[in-house]
Amino acid sequence: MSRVLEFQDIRKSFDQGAHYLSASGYVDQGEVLLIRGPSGAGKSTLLKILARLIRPDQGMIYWEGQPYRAVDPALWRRKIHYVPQKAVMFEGTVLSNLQTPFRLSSMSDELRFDQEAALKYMELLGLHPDMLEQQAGTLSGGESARVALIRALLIQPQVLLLDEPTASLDDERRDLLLQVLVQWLKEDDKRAILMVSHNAEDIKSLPFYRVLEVSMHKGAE
Amino acid sequence: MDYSYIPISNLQLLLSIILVLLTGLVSAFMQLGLLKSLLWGTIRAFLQLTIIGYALTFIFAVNKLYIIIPILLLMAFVASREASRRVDKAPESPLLISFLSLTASTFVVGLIVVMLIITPEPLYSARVMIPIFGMILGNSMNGIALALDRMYSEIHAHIEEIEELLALGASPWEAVQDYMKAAVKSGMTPTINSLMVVGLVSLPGMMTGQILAGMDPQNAVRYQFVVMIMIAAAVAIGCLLIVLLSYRKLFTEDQALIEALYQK
Ligand SMILES: Nc1ncnc2c1ncn2[C@@H]1O[C@H](COP(=O)(O)OP(=O)(O)OP(=O)(O)O)[C@@H](O)[C@H]1O
Ligand SMILES: [Mg+2]
Repeated sequence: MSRVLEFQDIRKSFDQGAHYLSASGYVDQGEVLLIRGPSGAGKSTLLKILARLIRPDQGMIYWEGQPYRAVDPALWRRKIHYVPQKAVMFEGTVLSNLQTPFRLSSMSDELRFDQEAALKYMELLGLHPDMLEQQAGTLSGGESARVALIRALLIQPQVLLLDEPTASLDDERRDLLLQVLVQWLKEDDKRAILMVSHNAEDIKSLPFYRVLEVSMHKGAE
Repeated sequence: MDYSYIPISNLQLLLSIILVLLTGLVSAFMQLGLLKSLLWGTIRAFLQLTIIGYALTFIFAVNKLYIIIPILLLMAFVASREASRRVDKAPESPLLISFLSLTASTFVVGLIVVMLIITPEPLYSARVMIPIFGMILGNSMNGIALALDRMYSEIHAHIEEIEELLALGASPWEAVQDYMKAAVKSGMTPTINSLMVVGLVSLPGMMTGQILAGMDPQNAVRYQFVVMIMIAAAVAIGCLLIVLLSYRKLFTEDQALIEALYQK
């Protein structure tokens, strides 16, 4: 098994250094790394740091052995892709939201918007195909969360950084979502998932995982 | 140009105190507590204008570039201080970029107007340049303050969308372009709107001044037209420059939003 993502001595301080987050860890191919910790522990912050949306005060991140500074940020963020705790929908229809990443200049030419794939994921996640024409702003929380996940899957990341992906879903939809994720991991053996979850049920549905506990340290720094 | 203007004598100037008294009565009657500011404001306005009057007389008489240019730069500096003072959401003071944008836009447009359109003798006439540059600066200052303010409010209001676009692989410009456009537009809109109503709602101050000074209205109108489109051009260039210059500072070298934007 080879290492997909590794982070060493990541440190990020808050409130002028009164608190700080510190974390090290890694995820191997085919693995799920569950990130746990109390509210405010810095779980979302850690995922955003790994997606290079926030800069750590110190620490290194490696993607397949390459230090993060050596990789173009736009490419990194598509491949090591963060899906936020609260789904972000842009103005326009669900279809237009799913196409958004394909309108960006950094999107490689081989990767085109695949409506078939979108519809397949919608079916697997219990969303009606008519929803493509719905205004994204009118979706419920759980619907937005699933549309955001589909948008993420369509850009074919290698590592998914999922921030409480099941928080807004009922038991049935949660199981659907976890099945999709497990299937997604199996489709390509290079893939991996880092996932924040408070939910014990999530863990039961996952065949294989490791846990990373995160906590905020009080710090004189 | 023989303007037959009607001068205001010292006695007549003294009589204008009646107007200050009227203003004071309003304040006293409504208990606005503005009397002290009114008095101080009146004295300051009188002294500042008197000093400016003497200074301009001196500058016009000397009329040398080595005096005119520092004065124009000083005016641009004062205007940029005022513009950046009005933008309270900026993570760092926009004084320097305001100064650069104002100076560049004012000089480009001002020189076109003076050298190509008005063409005074000699070309660098302080009597023409100082008021023209002053009018451009005053309006550009409002424009860039509006544009910057709008830019930061848009970013604060859409920080999650920007972050999501970056996560999906957007370049910094792609992530914020809608908000940059809104900012430039917001800076330019008042000027463009004023083009629509000029002459219908009110006569602009400059035209009023020229007519009072005895210029025939036909000519005053020509001046006013040139001044208005000159202001529109300067505001457009100034807003574009300030937004482009601030845009760079919104992102880290890692193409992520700078942290200060999350704070407020
Ligand atoms: N931009 C910011 N400025 C200041 N403090 C911040 C900022 N972002 C996060 N924090 C603080 O950092 C800490 C960690 O936040 P984070 O969102 O990472 O926690 P979390 O573990 O994801 O919590 P939750 O389980 O509630 O989602 C919190 O105390 C939060 O208030
Ligand atoms: Mg969180």
